[in-house]
Amino acid sequence: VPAIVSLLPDRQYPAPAAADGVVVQLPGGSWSDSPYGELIAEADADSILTGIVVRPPGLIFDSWPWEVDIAVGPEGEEGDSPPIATFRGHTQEVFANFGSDGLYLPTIIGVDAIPNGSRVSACWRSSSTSSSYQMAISATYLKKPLAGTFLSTPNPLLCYPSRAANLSSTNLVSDAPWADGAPVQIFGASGPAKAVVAVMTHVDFVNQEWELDLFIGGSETPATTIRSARAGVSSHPNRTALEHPLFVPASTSLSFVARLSDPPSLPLTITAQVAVNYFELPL
Amino acid sequence: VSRITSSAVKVAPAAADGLQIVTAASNWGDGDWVVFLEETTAADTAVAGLVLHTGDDGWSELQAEVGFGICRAGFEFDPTDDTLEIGHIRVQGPNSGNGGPTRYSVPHPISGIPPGYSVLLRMRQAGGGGGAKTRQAALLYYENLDNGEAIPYTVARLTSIPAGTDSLLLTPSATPWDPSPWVEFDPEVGDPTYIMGVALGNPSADTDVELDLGAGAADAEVPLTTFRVGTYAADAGRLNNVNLPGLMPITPASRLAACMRKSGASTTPMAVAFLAYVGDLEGGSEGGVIGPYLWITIPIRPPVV
Repeated sequence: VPAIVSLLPDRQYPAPAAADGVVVQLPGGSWSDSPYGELIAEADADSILTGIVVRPPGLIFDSWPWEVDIAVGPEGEEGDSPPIATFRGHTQEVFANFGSDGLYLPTIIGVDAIPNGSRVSACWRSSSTSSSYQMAISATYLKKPLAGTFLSTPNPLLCYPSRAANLSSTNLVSDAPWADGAPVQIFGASGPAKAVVAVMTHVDFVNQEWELDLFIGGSETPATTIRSARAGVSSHPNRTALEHPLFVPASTSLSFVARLSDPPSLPLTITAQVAVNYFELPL
Repeated sequence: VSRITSSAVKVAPAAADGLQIVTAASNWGDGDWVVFLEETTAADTAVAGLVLHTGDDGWSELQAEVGFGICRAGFEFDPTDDTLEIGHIRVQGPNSGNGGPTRYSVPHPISGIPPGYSVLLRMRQAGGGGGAKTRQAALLYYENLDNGEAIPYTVARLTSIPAGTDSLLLTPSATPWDPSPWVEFDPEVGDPTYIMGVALGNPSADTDVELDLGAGAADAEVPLTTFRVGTYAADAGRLNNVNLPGLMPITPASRLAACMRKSGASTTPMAVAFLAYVGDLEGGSEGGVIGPYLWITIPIRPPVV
C-alpha cells in the first residue's frame, strides 16, 4: 500500500491570544445574526483558519442548532462579503450543575482566506428566539508561508442546511434497535463536487449508541459510517469531524440512514437530526 | 497531498452494541484483549479510532489508554501471548455521568495490518479506577485507505507522552491568562517523534484554555505550537482529545515541555498527555513514509503450536 504522510512543523496560533473568547449575544429572532466580535484586529501575515472553539458562558436550557460565521473585513463591513467559514453545531440541554465541555471544531481542510493586514471577526445565530444566549468564540490559525504541508483552500467552509432546521429521520427505535431508519437526502443530485469535512448529529435520547451511514448517489453500500454514543446529559455541539474528508462527485446526491441502540425503555420513537460542513471542489 | 477520500470508515461491531472491555484492577495494568475484528480480508486494514462508552461503570477523572492489537486469525485463544500491540490512544474524561461525545479518532490511521489477522482492543487506566472497570467500545477502521495518509505500525507507533503512567499536571496561575510554569514532558526526545494531538483533563468550569507545547532548556522554552480549548462546566463527561491540523515533527534531542494559561481564577491543575507517533517517518534504516511510495514489510508471527 503506498503511504504518504504530510508533516506540519508550523506553529498554530490562537485568536484572540491569551484572552477570553469574544462573547457575542443573540439578538432574538430565529436564525438572526448576533453582532460581530473581533478575533484578530490586523493579521500580521497571510493566514489559514484551522478551527474554532465555542463556549456558551453560563447555563443554557434549550436544545437547538446553531451556526458560527468567520468573516474578514473592516468593522461594520463584516457582512458585506460572504463569510470565509460557517461552522454548524447543536447545543443540547444543560441543567444546573450539569454541563459538558466546550469543543474544538477543526476545519480539517484549512481555509486560506485571511490576507495579511485583514481584520477577522465572528458572529453566530441559532434557531432559538431567545435574546439572552451568548457564545464565547475563539479560533486557531496558521501563518504563511508554511514550512510544511497542509491541505488548504481559498474556498469557504459551508454548511447544509444553513439558517434552517436540521434534517431529521424520525420514528427510529420503535421496538427495533439497530434497525435502519428511512433514508433522508442531504444533497440533491446537482452542483459541484464536494468534500464533506464534518457531520453534525443530534440524537434526542441519552445513553444511546448510534450509527449514521452516508450514501452517495443510488449506491446501496455506505460511502462511510459515523459511529458515536451519547451518555448521560450533554451539551456538546455534536459535530463529528471527518479527518479524511468524504468525496462526493458532482451532480451526485448524498443521503443518510440512522440507527440506534436499544434505549433503556421500549418502545420509543427517537429522532436523529443531521447537518453537514463541506467544501465545494475543486479546492 | 490530499486527504480527501472515497474510502469508507467501517465499524466493528457494526449495527450492534459496543463490545465490553475490562480494565485491570491494578494501576495502569493491561486488561484482557478482546477481539473486535475477526480475520481481516483487505490487503491493508488501518485503525482509524474508537468509540468509548461508559458501559457498566462510569468514570471520574479518567486517565486511560486503549491499546490496538493484532494477531493471526485463529490464534486469539491465547491473546496475551499472541497479540502484538501496534499502538495506543490516550483518553481522559472527568465525569461520565454528565455525558459528552465519545468518539476518539486517529487522524493518521495505523496501517499495515495484512489479511488474515484479527484486531483486538485492551484498556489500562490510572489508579485502576478503584478496581476493574467495564467499558464499552467499537473500533473504527479503513480497508485500503485510498489517500495514503496512514502510518504503518512497522514504521512508527502511536503512543503518548507520558505512556503507561499518570498524566502530568499543569497548575494554572490564579491570574487570568498568566502562564503556568513550564512542565517537562521529555528531557531529551530520542527516537523521531511527531506530535498528533493532546489528551487533557481540565475540571475548571466555564473557561477558555491555551496550552503551549514547547522545546528548549529549562527557563528558555520556546513554544512550538498552541492548542486552544474550552469548557462549559466542571466535571463534564467529554474525553478531551484535540488534534493538531497536521503531524508536528520534533527535532531530535529536544527537551519537550508544556505550559498553560486560561480565563478565570481557578488554580485546579490540568492533566496533560500528548499523543505522538514515534518512529522514523522521514527515512532511516526502516524506510520512511514521506515521499511517493513505501513498500511495507509485514513481520508475520509464527503460529503457536
